[in-house]
Amino acid sequence: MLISCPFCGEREVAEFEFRCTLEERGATAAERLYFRLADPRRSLEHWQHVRGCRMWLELHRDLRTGRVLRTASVPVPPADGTGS
Amino acid sequence: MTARFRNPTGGSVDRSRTCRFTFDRQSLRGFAGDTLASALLANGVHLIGRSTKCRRPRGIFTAGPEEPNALGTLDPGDRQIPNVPLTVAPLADGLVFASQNRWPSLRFDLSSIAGVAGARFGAGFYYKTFMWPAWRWYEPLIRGLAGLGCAPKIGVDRPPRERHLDCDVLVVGGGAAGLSAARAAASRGAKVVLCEQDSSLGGELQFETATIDGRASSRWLIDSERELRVAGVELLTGTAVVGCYDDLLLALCQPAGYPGEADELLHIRAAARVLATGATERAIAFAGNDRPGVMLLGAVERFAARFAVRAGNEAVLFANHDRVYCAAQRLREAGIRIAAIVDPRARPELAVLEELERGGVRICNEQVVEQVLGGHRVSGVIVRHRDGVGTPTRISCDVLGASGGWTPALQLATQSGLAQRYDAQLGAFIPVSESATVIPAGAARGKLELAAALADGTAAGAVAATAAGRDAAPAERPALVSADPAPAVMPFWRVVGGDEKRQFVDLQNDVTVSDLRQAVAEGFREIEHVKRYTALGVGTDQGKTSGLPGAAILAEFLGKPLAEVGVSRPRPPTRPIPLGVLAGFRGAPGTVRPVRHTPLQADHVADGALMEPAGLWLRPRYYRDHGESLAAAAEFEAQRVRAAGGLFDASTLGKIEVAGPDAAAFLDRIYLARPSGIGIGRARYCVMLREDGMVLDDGLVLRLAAQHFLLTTSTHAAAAVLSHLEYHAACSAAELAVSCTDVTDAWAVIVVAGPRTRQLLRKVLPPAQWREPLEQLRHMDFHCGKWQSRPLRLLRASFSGELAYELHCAADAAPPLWRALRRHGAPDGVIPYGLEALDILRVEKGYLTSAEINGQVSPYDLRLDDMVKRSAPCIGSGLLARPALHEPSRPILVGLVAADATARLDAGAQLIAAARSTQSLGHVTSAVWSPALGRAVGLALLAREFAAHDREVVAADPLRARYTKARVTAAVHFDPTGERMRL
Amino acid sequence: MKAVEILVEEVRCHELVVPVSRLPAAAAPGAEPPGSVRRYADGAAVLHVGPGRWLLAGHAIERESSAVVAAQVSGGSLLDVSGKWLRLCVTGAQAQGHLSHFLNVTQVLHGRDCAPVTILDCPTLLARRERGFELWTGRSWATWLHESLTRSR
Repeated sequence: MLISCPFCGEREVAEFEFRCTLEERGATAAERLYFRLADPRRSLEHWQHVRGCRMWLELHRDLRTGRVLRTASVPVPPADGTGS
Repeated sequence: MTARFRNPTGGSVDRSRTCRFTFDRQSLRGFAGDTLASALLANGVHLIGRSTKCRRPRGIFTAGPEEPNALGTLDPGDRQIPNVPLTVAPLADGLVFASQNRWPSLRFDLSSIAGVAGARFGAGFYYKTFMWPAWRWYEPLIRGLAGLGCAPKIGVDRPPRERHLDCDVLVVGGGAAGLSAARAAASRGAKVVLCEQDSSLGGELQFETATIDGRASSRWLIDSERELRVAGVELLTGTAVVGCYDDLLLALCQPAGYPGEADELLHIRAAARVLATGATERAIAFAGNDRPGVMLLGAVERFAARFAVRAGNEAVLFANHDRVYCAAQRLREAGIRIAAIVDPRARPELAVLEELERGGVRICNEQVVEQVLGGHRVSGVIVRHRDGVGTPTRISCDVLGASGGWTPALQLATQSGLAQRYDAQLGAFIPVSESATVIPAGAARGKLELAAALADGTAAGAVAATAAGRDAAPAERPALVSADPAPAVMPFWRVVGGDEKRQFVDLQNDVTVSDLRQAVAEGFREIEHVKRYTALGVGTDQGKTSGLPGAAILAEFLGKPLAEVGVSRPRPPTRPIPLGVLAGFRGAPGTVRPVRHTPLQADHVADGALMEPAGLWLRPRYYRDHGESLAAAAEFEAQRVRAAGGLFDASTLGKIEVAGPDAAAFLDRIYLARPSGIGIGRARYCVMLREDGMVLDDGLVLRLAAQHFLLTTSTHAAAAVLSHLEYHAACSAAELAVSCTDVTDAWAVIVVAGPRTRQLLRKVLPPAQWREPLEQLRHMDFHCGKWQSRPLRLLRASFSGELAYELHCAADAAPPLWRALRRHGAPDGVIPYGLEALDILRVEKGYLTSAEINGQVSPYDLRLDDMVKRSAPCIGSGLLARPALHEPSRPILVGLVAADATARLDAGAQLIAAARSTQSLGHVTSAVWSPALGRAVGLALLAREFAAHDREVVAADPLRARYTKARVTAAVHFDPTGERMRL
Repeated sequence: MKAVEILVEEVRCHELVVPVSRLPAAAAPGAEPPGSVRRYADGAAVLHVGPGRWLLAGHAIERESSAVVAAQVSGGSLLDVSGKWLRLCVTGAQAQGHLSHFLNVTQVLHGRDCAPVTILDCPTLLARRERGFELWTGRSWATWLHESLTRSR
């Protein structure tokens, strides 16, 4: 399977490593840990192009087929934004 | 002298080159261009093996790689290659091969007693038999009988061959559809690669007589090949595409037709693929259809057309389609007398039938072959009316060509994600072409007629080229064709009312119609379950000739339509791949993983170090000159370091440079111990946490400038720490401007430790630059300068508890520096020391490594409470506040001292309160024999409630029956005030 | 000319790193395309090897001093990493064919002159050069990688 890295172009999925699935923002920690409803059609994940340019990517994946729906670099917040 | 069954002319064999070969010690001859199967048939040899389960005599069934029966062992001996399909292996002079699955010999096979018993071994017998009184009683016998062929004792010494290919359009299959697709795509400017599994192009065109564009099909083939080469198409013969994995196709190039040195694995990336994989002929199930001499009709034709070999002298043909009549004509021209044609359909309106009847061929319409007669060879058949009306007739023959129609080869289409649709006219499943980049074409899509296949191929090539972004104006050429008519198949799977125990569906695994009936009776409903229960289609042929008939018979027994039952899902690889070929470059010893060397590798080896793998690195464990054994050398080195001095190569430490306008603020978020408070020119021991509050790694942070830091990490955690930093720089701290760069390989780190180190450094480092810093450096200070015009950082830090310095030297300048230190240090007694001695020194001082930082401990467990207090809110500090991390059952770091001076402590030993207790209170994380204390000491993680000073515990290693009494102490065993470091 | 020749060279290098948040947007005029390479007659080269990361080889820092200063002004840093990188030069008529044993060169260098890749599990920068390719790899990996590439010729 190919993933389209914004810097390197299309590369084999084996060059990337999954780190985590992102939860809904705005919910409390308890809700995120214990009450989430997984939607397999759209999973938002953070992957790194470890065996390439090492940039971090945000992938939207359909877990039913494993296909990547959208690839983006991890978004940079506006200058006055605060980290979570 | 020509072999008995070889025609004097015809075929593409080279009669000028005779090849001698040996089969089961019988010397025979053939020609260059033969396959082993055709050469055997030319000599009249039909019995070539026995079946796996029932040990029934078997012969050659097909003429291609879908062969289920004719598997032989090439070159019997230590290097033999088992399970080679004889129908594919090309003949060469001097070949020796043997039949399989028989003992002592093919004709007098004692194991065929199993065949008599085999009738009792229905489907799934291994779940129901050989259990009482114990499986062990039967195991040796079964292991001897089971399996297919014997593996070699010595592997093929194969140079690894792998290749990555890139193209616009990949055409799989070099038959009529494939060739026209390749031409259409190439004419649009696409870069085309064509893979054909056979050694020559053409597919069925090589055996049919047809006229294309006014030329004979053989002429058209030669012209097409030339035109394609001129157009720049890469034609790969002997190359089978074995798997489609999302965007990658794997192909196996086996020029020899069987595993050999020239095998190559191709990784093909194509923008679009045309799957012109053709259709495979399928069998009909009738009693005795596994006898040697019963073959697929197409195989009989192929042996005659391509090799000029008559599979027999008198043939009966049994088929359910119109092509059988044209085939009969061709076989008569090849010199085979056709005794009868048996066709379960009503008599078709074809002129050729009259011609055949005039030639003495008996045409039996609406009749079926009920049974095959003969033992080691077909001797005749019994033919009766399809519905059982009238009396059966006996017809003599020595070969039977049967055909149930054609099944489009769907494996690659299914692997590529295409769905399947049942076509009732064809009696088979065809792929549904919905994708712009995966295009089935020709017989693989059910277009069995030549004209339709050519047109379909052309269209597919055009679509593929467009999908690959090539759209140059095409040069269209309509192909005028006259060839065999449409086959008009009537689906026919088995002869109803025969002996079902002898009606074979899957020849390789001896699966009969009665097995399928039994599976249904036992409650199996899904084709996938039936496949696994009966072993239908699990052999080396992957059910290419038997899968669909088996599914159809199952559908009949279930009373469901075949479209609903479906076929079992084909998975890659579609042909067997030798594991050595799959391994590619990882096959040779020492190549599975890279080996990383420090800059001082050559010096360590020259000094006699025993180099040991640590992760991917090679590191010195100890130096052989220092002792006769590991323990003796390690003790010597550790003592010498404390007495005089030692040199250690710490270049494997991970080093990361963090720079940027917000570097300090960023590191405050990563580490405990607040790195922003470190002065320039100073270092601090810091610990970083995972997001859940557990310790990820520890290391030193050096402040090079206001916003420029160097971090050191432990060797094994370097990759994880770098990713951790990069992740948070990109995500949680994205508003900060910072960059992290791995500089592990840029700097060598030489540790100089011991009381005499300062005087050594005074000798080695030029005094002009270094005298003052050496005098003035306090613990955890560093100074940047040069040595031999290369950058050098001198850091005063200790992992041994002695006065010690770390020299961070540019990697290319490290060997001369090391040698200078060795040379000047030797008179003072300074020696190099390895990992074993390092461990002794650091355990004596209670310093931590990955043994203690095992991913399951919090900073509180490691007694780093002060560091936590001094920290800013950082990653992990939130979850660090969890009450669970302060429970009394949480472990805490303690030291252990063995009660008895001769006793031994082992890392990993569980700590228990007393000798008979079975409740673990913790475990020993590190243990060494300490020269400084004269007994075994260690570090342990012990439950807080039991971690009182001087408490007695037992370190228990039940597997080795070792129980050592030990006393709990502070984690520091030697020099608790640390005064030796501050000399 | 030999079919494939592989030579190892020491090259002084610097890395120029700019925090990703300070990079100009991809379409902006100052932005450089990924994988671009600038080469100078004396062998110096600048390779754009990652987002906000450039490898300056040989005497490139002198050639590119204004670009370096501009990067530093916007928060970047110039790091002296001499000794980190070794360069394996793969030249010869069969250079691309030889590298095609290990990775899909066409795909990886599609639309660019250099790319960060992994060859035989070693992190490597692959770059096109006259009459062949360069493989930049960390010093600790270079010996094994060179051996493996040479052995399989």
